[in-house]
Amino acid sequence: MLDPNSPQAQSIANLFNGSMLLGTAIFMLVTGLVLYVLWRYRSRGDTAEPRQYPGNRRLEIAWTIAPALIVAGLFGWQLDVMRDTAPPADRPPDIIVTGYSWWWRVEYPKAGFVTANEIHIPVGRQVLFQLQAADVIHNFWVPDLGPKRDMIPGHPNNTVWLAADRPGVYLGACSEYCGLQHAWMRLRVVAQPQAEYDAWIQQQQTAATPADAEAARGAEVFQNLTCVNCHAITGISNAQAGPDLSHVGGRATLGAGIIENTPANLSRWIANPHDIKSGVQMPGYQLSEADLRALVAYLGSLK
Amino acid sequence: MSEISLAPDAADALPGLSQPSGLLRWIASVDHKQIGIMYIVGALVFFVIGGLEAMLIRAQLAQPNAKLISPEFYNQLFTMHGVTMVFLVGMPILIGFGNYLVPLQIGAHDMAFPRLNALGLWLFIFGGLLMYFSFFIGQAPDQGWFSYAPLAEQPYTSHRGPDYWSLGLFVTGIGSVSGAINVIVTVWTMRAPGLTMRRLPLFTWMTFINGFLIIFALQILNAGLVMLEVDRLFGGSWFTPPGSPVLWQHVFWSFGHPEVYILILPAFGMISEIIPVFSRKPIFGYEFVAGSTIVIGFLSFTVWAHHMFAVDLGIGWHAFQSAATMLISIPTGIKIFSWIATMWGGKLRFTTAMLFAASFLVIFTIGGITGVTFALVPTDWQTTDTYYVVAHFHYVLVGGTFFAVYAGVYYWYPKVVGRMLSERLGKWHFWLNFAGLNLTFFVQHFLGLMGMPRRVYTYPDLPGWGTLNLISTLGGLISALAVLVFVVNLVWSARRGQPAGDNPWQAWTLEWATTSPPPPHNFEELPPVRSRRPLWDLAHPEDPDWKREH
Repeated sequence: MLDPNSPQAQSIANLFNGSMLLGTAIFMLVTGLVLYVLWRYRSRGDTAEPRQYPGNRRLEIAWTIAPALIVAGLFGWQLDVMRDTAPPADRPPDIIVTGYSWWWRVEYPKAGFVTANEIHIPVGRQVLFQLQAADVIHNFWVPDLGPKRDMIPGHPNNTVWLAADRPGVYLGACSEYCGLQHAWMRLRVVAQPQAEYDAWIQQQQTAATPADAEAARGAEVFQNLTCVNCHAITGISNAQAGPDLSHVGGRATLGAGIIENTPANLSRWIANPHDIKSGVQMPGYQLSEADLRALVAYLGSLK
Repeated sequence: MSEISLAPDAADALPGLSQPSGLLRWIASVDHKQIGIMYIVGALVFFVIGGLEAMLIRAQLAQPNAKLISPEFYNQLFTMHGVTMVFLVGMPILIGFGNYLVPLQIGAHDMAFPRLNALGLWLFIFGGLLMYFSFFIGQAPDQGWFSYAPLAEQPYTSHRGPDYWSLGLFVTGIGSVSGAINVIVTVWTMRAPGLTMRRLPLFTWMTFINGFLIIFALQILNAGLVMLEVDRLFGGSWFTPPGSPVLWQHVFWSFGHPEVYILILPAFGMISEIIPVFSRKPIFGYEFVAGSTIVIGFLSFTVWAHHMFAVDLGIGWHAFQSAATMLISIPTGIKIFSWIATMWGGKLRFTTAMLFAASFLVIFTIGGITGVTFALVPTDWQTTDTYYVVAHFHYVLVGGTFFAVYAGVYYWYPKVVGRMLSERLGKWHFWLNFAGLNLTFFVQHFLGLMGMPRRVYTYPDLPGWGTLNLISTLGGLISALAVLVFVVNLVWSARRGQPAGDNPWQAWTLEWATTSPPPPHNFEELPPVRSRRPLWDLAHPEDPDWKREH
């Protein structure tokens, strides 16, 4: 939020800065008065009581009305900001994100593919997200790109507009406590120039193929194990219980941000995911070294 | 009906009226002063436990990607830290002060219902023990103090944690409601002759108003707890589809926001007693300070949905709840300015109690200003559920409620114990706590703005996050040291402190008109009450308040 990168994030940041400027002025006033009074009216040791007076009605009315005017002003300003961020109802979403414990399913309904934990958007365009939850309440938040929104089971129609003015990777996170691994339900948004983004979309629409013989053997390992019961890979499986792995090799992290996506980390994850992120649904697999190497080569080649 | 008078030794002849001794003298007590002390001591024990939980939390967060504490235990720690500090420390310590002080301040010999009073105390203690018993069976609550459905529901939390949470809070909640009824009836019916409602000491006044908040808010929570248990134990679906998780949020926060004011109104009352005495002037604008409390009480029930802006309730709800939330800054501002104006033109004495009270004004103002961020819907959308909100409410609850309670302890301890607290240790306590509080929580504003969500057991090594968290942890250590000094002071001064006398501060309300500590029936005789400051009138017959008021 300190580095707003979209019109709506900027609009909110302006309101925040404005209210803080006002707040700082009020803080200086109160602190200044307190310090002045503490110094000016400190007891100088004599025992005589000061003059007693119970109040001043005019002053009391003044400091009732002055804050009322300030909050009325802030209230009007925020209505404008709410308009800047409010999604119109009459447009289908560009991206549907579903919160699971503890990862994100990301669907591009127009392009017709599903991915996970990493969202690509085109630079400079307003993108409408529809937000859902599969189990408990999660919250979708990318601070630099716009406001956060809850994902609530049974309330599938929450939406939020995000945009990015500049290309780059923007970090986000689940910000509603959602259980054991709430800390590692992190999110990456990659904002790309239009051409690059179009190329990425096209790549996601095409099934990735094993790069070499070892990877091809890894594909067999994948199909022979229970991997296929939970994970989808285009052309092999349609299961939806776990993150879609069709292009997992192209993602930067594993376990929704907990480790970098390297071959070594991927082997550790497959062998014992609970060691890395306790409580995840996936069981560990005791594979032969050769099988594990092949499986890692296969998944890594799915770019 | 004629009056029945007992012979002087009749009390000794009746076994039920004989004085028990030792521990039983406390356990069997229905005396408001003993009950008040037990509330406060019980709350302080839980305060140490909740503080240790906070220290473990800060230890785990001192570095990114730390593995000091398992995620399971961390989630139990932050859940029980919140539950403890709100329900087992904040509420009982304020109720305890009310218990001790309200009868004394209104010139009564006890509360209206002494046995109900004892029941409330033991419900608080047993409710607290019930919740903590969950640790011994290894199933402590870990769903957060707010226990959001569906996470707290059976499919997602199958252990007994949320059940201990619900039942423990239900037990303490009934205790709180009974205590609130008692305070209201006591203030309404047992005031000394001449002590009209418009002359009530402000601590008693705010505790009285708080009674109404407790009755209405805690009943909502109790109903919600039963609904949650119907879901969990009997397969209901209030808060899971086809019911709605959002319904739980409405129920919880329509209790939860008044709760914030339940935790601050008596603290405002303490500040309103302490600042005048150490400024040697009456409170500035009594009617505005007292009246603004009623306004806060009403408004507090109309603002709960500002905890739910991220749910997206629609523009109508958002605008209404946002406006109501912002309105609360008006009565709160009245109080702050009235306290400053009370000091203006006075002769200030910088006792430890006064230092805590004066710094309360500044620190609470910081909490009030960051509160505006959550009243404004769009800025709430960015900052809610981040470390910014953690910083905000710790400024309010530590810098507000707790600094006021510390001020209250230094101010009333001589009355309760008969000896003064050490001012030397008191100043150490104050400065360490002031530094610790600001160091711990000021940096958390920035962590929140940088994108750190709350309730995370660890965080990635992003630029600045590790450093700011380390500073916060160091601040926590300083606060812990401050609390240690405070506890040493409490214990040491009880035996070695200067004898206090009846009225060490030359204060003006009725509790200072009796001995320290007061006798079992509180007063041998009451001074005449003709104004808000009967003891001022007594000491200054040439310049009495009753000539000034009206």
